[in-house]
Amino acid sequence: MIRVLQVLSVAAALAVPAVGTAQEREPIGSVKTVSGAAFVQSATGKSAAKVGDYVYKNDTIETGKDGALGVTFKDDTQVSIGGDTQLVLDDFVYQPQKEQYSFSSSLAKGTLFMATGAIAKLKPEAVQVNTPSGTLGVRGTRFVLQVAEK
Amino acid sequence: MTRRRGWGTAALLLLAAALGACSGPPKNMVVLLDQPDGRPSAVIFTSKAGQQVRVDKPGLATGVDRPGDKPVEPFQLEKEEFDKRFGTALAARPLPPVSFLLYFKFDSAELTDASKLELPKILEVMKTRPAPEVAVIGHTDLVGTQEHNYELGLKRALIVKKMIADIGVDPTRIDTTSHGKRNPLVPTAEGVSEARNRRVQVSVR
Repeated sequence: MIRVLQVLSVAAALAVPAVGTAQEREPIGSVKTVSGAAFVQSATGKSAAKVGDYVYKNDTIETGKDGALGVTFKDDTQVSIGGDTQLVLDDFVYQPQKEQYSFSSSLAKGTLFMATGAIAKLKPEAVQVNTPSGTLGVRGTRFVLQVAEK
Repeated sequence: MTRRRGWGTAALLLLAAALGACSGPPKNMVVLLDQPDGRPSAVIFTSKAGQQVRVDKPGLATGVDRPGDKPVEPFQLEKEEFDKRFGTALAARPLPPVSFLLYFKFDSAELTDASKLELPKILEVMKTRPAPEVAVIGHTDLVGTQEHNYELGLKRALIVKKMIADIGVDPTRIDTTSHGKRNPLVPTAEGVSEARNRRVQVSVR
């Protein structure tokens, strides 16, 4: 057991520099609207969302039955989710000076509104939303998406 | 009697479920919305089996009931059904960001006089928003090298950051970046001096 823990702590120590670079720890967006039960789940735990909270790559935004939550991202993409929803923010890269772009998220369940921003304008194929039943590609747009059954 | 009514209700529910399964809108779906600027747009749904359906008319939808299904041809979703499914998510959408374009003199980080007058408007918009943030993005025209223009764009963005911080915007809520010459407003050939490309975009969100 101790050995396992040692291995784990070494792994954790090694993992920190990998995820701790300036780019990775920069917020990718912030919470703009909250109603009812709405949360941001990050590596450090789950907390009730408040207007102004930052969100980071790999966070999950989620709501209870009566909840709703809206986030604006650094490329001006606007996203909101309705009740009983889980959206994982898998990847967000917005680096025009290197021409590197990516915005991918996964709607595990619930409802989503998205109005795409600069990333979709500069590289449309870089934006994608995954769902259990298929993948959505966007071409500079606004849409709503629902995952009701897996 | 009670028992019979119970069976009747169960039968009706089953019928409703069966009808819903074969004729109702798909359980998993996407609906394309209109673009405020009216520009053409589209969403492309690719099912797990690799079948694609493209929706390029606002108001139309596609989707599947189950992951293995073929996506349905684009159809018009009834307003009532749309509101029922998406009303809560839509009500929570953030205010769209408001953009300002500020222009600069050639190869310089000095704002044009007309653009200086825009600065107070940025502050006004910020006052109307919850937890406002400002993105300041420096751009250049296509004269000079990539590196030079990246630096010039950044210099322009930092000058604007200082100017809006000076009129009362919290500097920790201002984010500066440079696109250099990679994202011109007016596409031109390399080496063309174009005033409309020498700009800083300020986005209040």
